[in-house]
Amino acid sequence: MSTRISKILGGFLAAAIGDAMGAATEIRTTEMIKDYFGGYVKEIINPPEDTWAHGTKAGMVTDDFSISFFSAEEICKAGGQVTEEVALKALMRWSEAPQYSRFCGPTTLNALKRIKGEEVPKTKHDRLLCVNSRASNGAPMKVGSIGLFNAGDVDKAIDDAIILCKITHDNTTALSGAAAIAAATARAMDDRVSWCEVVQAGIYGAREGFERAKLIARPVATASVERRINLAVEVGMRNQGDWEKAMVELSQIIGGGLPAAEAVPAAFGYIVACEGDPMQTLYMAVNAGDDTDTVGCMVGYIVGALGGIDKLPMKYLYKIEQMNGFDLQGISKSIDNLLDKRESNEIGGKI
Amino acid sequence: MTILFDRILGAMAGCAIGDAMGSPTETRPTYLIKEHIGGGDYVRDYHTPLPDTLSAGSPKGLVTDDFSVSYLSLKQFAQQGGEITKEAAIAAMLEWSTYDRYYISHSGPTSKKSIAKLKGEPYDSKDDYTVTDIYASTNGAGMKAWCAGILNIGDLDKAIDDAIVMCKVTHDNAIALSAGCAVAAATAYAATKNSTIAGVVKAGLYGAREGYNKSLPITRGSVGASVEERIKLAVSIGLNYSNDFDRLLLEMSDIVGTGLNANEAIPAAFGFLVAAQGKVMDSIIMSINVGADTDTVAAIAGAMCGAYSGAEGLDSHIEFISEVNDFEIVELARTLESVLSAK
Repeated sequence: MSTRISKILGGFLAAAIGDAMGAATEIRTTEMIKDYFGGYVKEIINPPEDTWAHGTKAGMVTDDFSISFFSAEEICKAGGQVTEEVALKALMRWSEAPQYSRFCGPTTLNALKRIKGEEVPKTKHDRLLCVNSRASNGAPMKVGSIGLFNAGDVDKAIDDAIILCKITHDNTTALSGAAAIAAATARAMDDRVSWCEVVQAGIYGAREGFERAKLIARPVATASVERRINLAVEVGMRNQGDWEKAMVELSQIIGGGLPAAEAVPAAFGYIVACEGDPMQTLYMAVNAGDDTDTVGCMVGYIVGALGGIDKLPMKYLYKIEQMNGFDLQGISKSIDNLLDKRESNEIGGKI
Repeated sequence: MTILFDRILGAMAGCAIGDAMGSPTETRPTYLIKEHIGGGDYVRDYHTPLPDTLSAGSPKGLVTDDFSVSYLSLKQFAQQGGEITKEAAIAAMLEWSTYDRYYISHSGPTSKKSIAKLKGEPYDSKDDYTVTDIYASTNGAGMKAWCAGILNIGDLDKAIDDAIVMCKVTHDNAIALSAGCAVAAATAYAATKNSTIAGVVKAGLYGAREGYNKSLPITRGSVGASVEERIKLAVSIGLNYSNDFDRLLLEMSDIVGTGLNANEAIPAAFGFLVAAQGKVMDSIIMSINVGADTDTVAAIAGAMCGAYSGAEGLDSHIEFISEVNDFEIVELARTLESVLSAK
C-alpha cells in the first residue's frame, strides 16, 4: 500500500472510529463517563439508552461520519469535483438513510426541510439578520474527506469545504470551522509532515474560511473559531505529557459542544496535547465529554491522515465496514486514482 | 439617601439601563452594530430596535426579559418580606408570562419550556430521556440572579442558596445555576459598604464553584465548559485591555464569547465589570457593543456595577425607563430598603 492510500484510508477509518466510539459517550461529562462505564472508554461499545445514539449497535456510526462518507462518495462519482449539486445529492441520499439521519442536528434538519420544499415551522428567529444558533458543528463534521480529495492543497480544500457546507450552514462561523478541519486534513496528507504544520494549516483555514465566507454567507455574532484554536493550542501545549489534565482543562475552558467555536478548537487542542498520536487523540475526544462523536469524527480525519492506517487497530476497519456496509478501502483507492489523474494532468499541462 | 437604598437602586438601574440599551444591538456582531446602528461608531445611547432583531416593534427604552423578569421577581419577594421562596419565584414567572410585550419576543428557550411545564401546557418532551440536557445551560438564570444578591447583602452563602431556589424553577441545570450563583454572590458582596473590585471577582468565582457543587446533585444532568474557568479567562481580558476599548471587545467576543450560553454571557459580564472598574455606564457601553447577547451581558454587568457603585448620575435613565415600561423602579427600591432594614 502506498503512503498516500494509507493516509486516505487512515483518515476515513480514524474518523469512523471517533464517531462510533463517541456515540456511547456523547452528551456525558468526563466524570459521568468514568462513573457510568467504570473508567475511560477506549473501545467501541453499545451506546446507553439515555443518549442520542440509543439503539445503535457497537460499530455503527452516527450522523457525523455517515454524512461525510456519503459526501465523499458523491464527490468521487463527480470525478473529484465539489459543487453545490454534489453537496445536495449527498445530503438528499443521506436524508433517506434513517439509521444515520435520525441523528440530524437542528441546523441541518431545517436546511433539509427548506431544500425539500417542506414547511419549516415559523419562529421569531426568522426575521433575524444574525441567527447565531446556526453557527454549529454540523458543517465541520462533514468536511474531513474534502481534505483527502485535496491532499496538500490547503486553499482548494477551504474553497471546497465552503461549497459543501453552505447549503446547510450559511454562516461565517460554521464555515470558518469547516475550513479549519478541511485545511488541516489536506495538510496532513503531505509527506514528512507533523502535527505542528497541521495545526498551523488549521488556523490558516479558520481565518481564510471566515474571510472567504464573509463575502457570501450570512453574518453571525459568536466567539471566533480562530481565536479559540489559539487558546486551545496554548492549553494543549501547557499540558503535553499529562493526558488527563490536558483533557480536563480543555473541556473546562474550551468546551466540546454543539457550537462550531467549541468543537473545532477542542479538536486542535487534543491534537496538540497528544502530539498528533492518532489513538491517544481519539481517546481524548471520546472522553472529554459533550459532543464527543462529532469532535471524534472531525479530529479523526486529521490525525488519521497524519498517521496513516498503520497507526490504527485493523480490527476496527472490518468492524466499521461490516456494521455500516461502507467500503472504506474501495473509496480510498478511488480517491488515490483521482489524485493520480490530477497529478498527471498537472504534469501534462506543464509540458 | 441611605447607602443601602443607593446600592439597591443602583443594581436595579444598572440592569434596566443595560437591558434597554442592549436590546437594539442584540444578535449582531460588533462591526454590524457600528455599521447599522451606531452610524459607523460604537453605540452609546438608546435606539429604536431594527426590524431584523428580536426586539423588532418595541419602542426605544423598552426592556426585554432580563430586567422585566428581575423586576417582577423582586416585587414578589418584597411581598414575602424579602424572603426568596420557590412559590414566589414561580408566581413571578407566571405573572411575567402574561406581559405580551416581554414574553412573546423575549422568552428564552429554557424559561419558555419551564413556564409551559409549570402551567401544565404541552411542551417538546422528546429529549427528556437523555442523561444531560444540552440545551438548558443558558444565561436565563444569570440574568435574574442578581436579585438574590440584593436580598442577601453581605451573606454570600445565603445568596447562593437563594439563587438556586429562585432560578431552579426555570433552569434545572448546574451550569446555568453556577452562573446564577456567581452573579448572586458577586452582587451580595458588591453591595456591601466597603467592597472592592477584587473582592467582587473573588465572590463571583466562589459563587460559580459553590453554585455548581450545590446544584449538581439536585438538578438534571448538564455538560459544558466551566463557568468558573471562563470567568478567570474573562477577568484576565478585563485586566489586560481596560485601556484599549477596541481590543477589549474583540478579545471578549472572540475568545470568551457573549452568547446565549451561561458559560459565555456571565463570564463576559465579569470581564467588563473589571475593565470598567465597577462604573455602571462604562460597563454597559462595553457590553452593548460586544455583540451577540448584548442586552443580557449589559443587564448583568450593569446590575453588579450598580450594586458596587450605586445610582449616582443615573436619575434621568431611571425616569425614562420607568416611564416607557410603566415600572415603579424608585418605589420598589424604597420598598426593598424597608423590607431589608426590617429583616
